[in-house]
This record gives sequence, structure tokens and C-alpha cells, in this order.
Amino acid sequence: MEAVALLISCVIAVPIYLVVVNSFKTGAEASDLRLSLPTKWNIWNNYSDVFISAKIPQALWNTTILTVVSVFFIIIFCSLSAYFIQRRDNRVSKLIQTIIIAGLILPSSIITTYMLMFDLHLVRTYLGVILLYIAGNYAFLTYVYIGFFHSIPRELDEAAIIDGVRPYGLFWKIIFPLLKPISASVLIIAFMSVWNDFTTPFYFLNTASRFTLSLTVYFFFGQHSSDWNLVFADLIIVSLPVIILYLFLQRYIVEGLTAGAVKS
Amino acid sequence: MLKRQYYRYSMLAPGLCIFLVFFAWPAISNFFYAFTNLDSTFKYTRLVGFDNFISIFEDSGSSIAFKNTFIFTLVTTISKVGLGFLLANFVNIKLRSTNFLRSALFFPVILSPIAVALAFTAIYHPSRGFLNVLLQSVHLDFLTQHWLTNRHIVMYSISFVETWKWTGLTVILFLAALQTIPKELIEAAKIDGATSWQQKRHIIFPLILPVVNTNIILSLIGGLKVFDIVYALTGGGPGDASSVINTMVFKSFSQGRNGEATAASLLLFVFILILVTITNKYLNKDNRG
Repeated sequence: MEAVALLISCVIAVPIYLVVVNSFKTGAEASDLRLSLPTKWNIWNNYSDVFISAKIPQALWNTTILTVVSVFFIIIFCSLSAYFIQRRDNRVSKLIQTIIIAGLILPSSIITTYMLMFDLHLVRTYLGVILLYIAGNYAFLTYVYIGFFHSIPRELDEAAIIDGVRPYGLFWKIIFPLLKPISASVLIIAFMSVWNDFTTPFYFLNTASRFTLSLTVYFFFGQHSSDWNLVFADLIIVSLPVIILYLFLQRYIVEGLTAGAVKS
Repeated sequence: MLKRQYYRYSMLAPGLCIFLVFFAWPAISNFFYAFTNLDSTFKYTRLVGFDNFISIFEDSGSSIAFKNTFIFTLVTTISKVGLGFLLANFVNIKLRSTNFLRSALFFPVILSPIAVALAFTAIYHPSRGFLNVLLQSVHLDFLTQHWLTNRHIVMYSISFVETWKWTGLTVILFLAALQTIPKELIEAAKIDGATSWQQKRHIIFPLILPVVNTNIILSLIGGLKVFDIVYALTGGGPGDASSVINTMVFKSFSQGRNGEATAASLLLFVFILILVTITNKYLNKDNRG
């Protein structure tokens, strides 16, 4: 049994290890793509070289802005919508639940989305891409929040209402703090999906100064496909922020995904 | 009732409006534009009936794309759900390495698909890539391949990368379901003399059927929609040998043939709808989505 476990771990670990170890080598040594340790450690040179030649600071800034703003609004809009949908038991909320379930399944229509963005002059703007990220993540993450609201008793709302709290006061001061665990899940899921996304910036931010990390790494690979040490260092730089967040919020990601997907 | 005022439409509206305008509306308008001669400047002059669909099916490149998308979807769904089920059962057993293994299995899920795909171009490198070097070192030279440039196997090479990246997700979902099965149920079955296979077939499987359904649907959708991994690994090449629906949509779009691109998008939409409906019908016992 332990042997099987070891084998599975190897299948997962080898590609990752290959990338890490070769990002520490000199160009000539890395081009052999071997798993051996570097004979000459070239960490600083590789990473500083990539930082400049792959234009990392600009892309890192672009990606961070897009991700932080999108995730912020996803958390606010999805939790508010879910609150309405779960608490208001009327025809409108039933209809919207049906629309949301359809939104979970159906793919985005990229060309007509492009037309819409084109007509609204939102192509190659951060605002446009942020709106697309909110729209694209809305169905699933609202669904995740709706599931969680079932566990917050309505009596809590009623008690607060009797105490004379205002509608938005009720949500922000009393309900929202209770959402912390599920908001942590939504945070990491939305962060991953936006940070790692390639397709949206590929279509909508196709101009060098607005490239995100996913785009720079793709185009850098196109120009430097034989400089494996640099390509691998670039891959690590792109992946590191998500990995760090994952290490801190690991528990929540699993809870959020299972809450959202298993119940549906 | 007074209470109603506390759940305001202004809470629902911001998110829902963005969703309706930027997700639902493009999906709906796509139904219309697929039947027009939409050009590179996003203008159309007339309805053309099924012409866009006909020119898609007459083009040899796009028939390859459809075939590839179905192969890819079938292979990755079977491997992600099958492997995911086996591995979930495996990491459900208490071993010393269990916790580590669960985290390790999930790790590829968090990585960027582009980063994963580019790393695998190194693994698949024909002369120095790890895969061929490994095969040579265990004297299986005859199995070495040009993994990404041989048109007969390229879709399977890409399918492996997709499986490597996403199986962790199906494992986690299966595992969550397995852990909700009461231990007493299994104990009782054992006392009644049920074999390990009988336990799986008659107790565990029916109980986790909803998650089997979820995993199959997620894999089908993921497979049909695939773009980034294919684009980064091969760009659809060699020639059109590994093109899929979404690389074809991009190709039509970049050549200004937007009528055809919307028609292809619509087909993708319809395929997903059909497959999900069929899966739900057969696997979701209480028939709710």
C-alpha cells in the first residue's frame, strides 16, 4: 500500500520537481532537462533575468489589480445576492435560482461577449475584464453562498429586526461576519480562477502593457523556448502567489468546493 | 410583512445585473448571430440560415476539431472519474502518508493550466524529455514517441496533462462523499458476509451516486470547453491534428469569420446541454438538477 502511495506521489511530484530544480541551473545544464541537482547553482541570475526580460513587474501588477478587485466584488455581490435569494421565498427568487443553475452548466459565449465588450468600448480595459470575472464566477459562488445561508437561522434576522436594526446594518454588522468561513472558501476559489485564467486576458487584454502573468509566461515561452532555466523560473514566479495562498487557506478550499459541488 | 423589506432587491441587483449583461446576454444573443453573416467588424447584413453550420461541417479542419473534442472529453472523463474514484478510496484508508497524499493529489488543481502545460512540453520533449528518457532507461525504447507532434497520439498526450491537473478535484469530491457514509453501515454489511466488492457495488456506490453524477458532469463540461491546455501544449497542431472546438472558435475569430465562430460556440453550448441532460437523467435518481 505504501508503495502505491509512493508511486502516485512520484507521478505528481516529478513534473513539479523538474521545473523547480531546472529553474536553479545554468542555461546549458537546464537544456538537458535532467532531474539531477545543479552542478552550478544559478538561482539569482535566472530569477532576476526573468524578472526583467519577461516584464514580470508590470504583469504582476496587472494581475494583482485584476484579481484583488474582482475577488473583492465577487465576495460582496455574490453574498448579497445569495442572501436575498435564500431568505426571500418568492417567485423571483425561485426563477433566479433556476437561472443560476443554468449558469453553472453553460459555457460563456466568447464571440458575442467580445461584441458586447466592443460595443461598450470595454475591450482592452481592466473594467471590462473585471466585469467578465464577476459575471463568470457569479453563478457558482452565489450557489456556494446560498448553501451556507441555510445554516444561519432566520430567527437571528428576526431578533435583530425587533431590535430595530436597518436592512443593510443587519447584513453587514450581523450576517456578513458569520460568513467568514465560506467567504474564505470563496476568496481562494475566486482568486485561483482569476489569477490562473488565460482565456479572458487572451481575448480581451491583448496588448503588451496590459498582459497578465498567464499571458507573459505564454509569450515568453514562445520567444525563449530553448532557455529552459528561464522558462521554468517564470513558471515558478507565476505559480508562487497561488501556492502561498493555498498553504494558508487549504482547509477552506476543500470545504468550499465540496459545499458547492457535492450539494448540487 | 415588515420582514420582507429587510431582503431588498438592491441587494440582489448588482451581482445579478452584471451576470445577466455580461454572461447571460452574450449566451442568448449567440443564438441569433450564429444564423447571420457576422463579419470581422461585428456587422451583419442578412440572415443566412444554416450556412455557417454547413461551412463548419464541410471544413475538414473543423471535423477534426469536433472529433478531437469528443475523444478528449471521453478519455479525460473516464480517467478523471475512474482514477478519482480509485484514489479517493485509497486515500480514505488510514495510512501514515494519507494526509500528505491528499494534499499532494490536490496540488496540481491550484496550479495555472498554462504553467502546467508548458512544464509538460519539457516532459514530452522527444529527445531529452523525462518521459522518453525514462522509457529508454528501463529498456522500453520502442515505446518512446514524439508525444506532441505525432498526430495519432497527440490528443492522448494532452488528455494525460488534463488528467494530471484535474484528477485531484474529483478525488476531493469523492472523498467528501465517502466520509459521509456511516461506518455502521459497512460494519453491518461485513457481519452479514458481504464481500469487499459487494459492499462497493450495493452500499457505497448508490450512496455516492450524486457525486459520481457531479464529477461526470464537471469532467464533461471541462472536456468540451477545453482551450488553454491545448493552446499552450500544441496550439492545435501539428496542422489541425489536435485542434478542438474552442481553438477552432479562436481561429475563426482571428480570421474575422465571426458568423462561423458564433455557430461553433452555439454547437458547443448545445453539446454541453445534451450531455449534461443525459447524464442527469440516468444518474440523478430524484431527477433534480
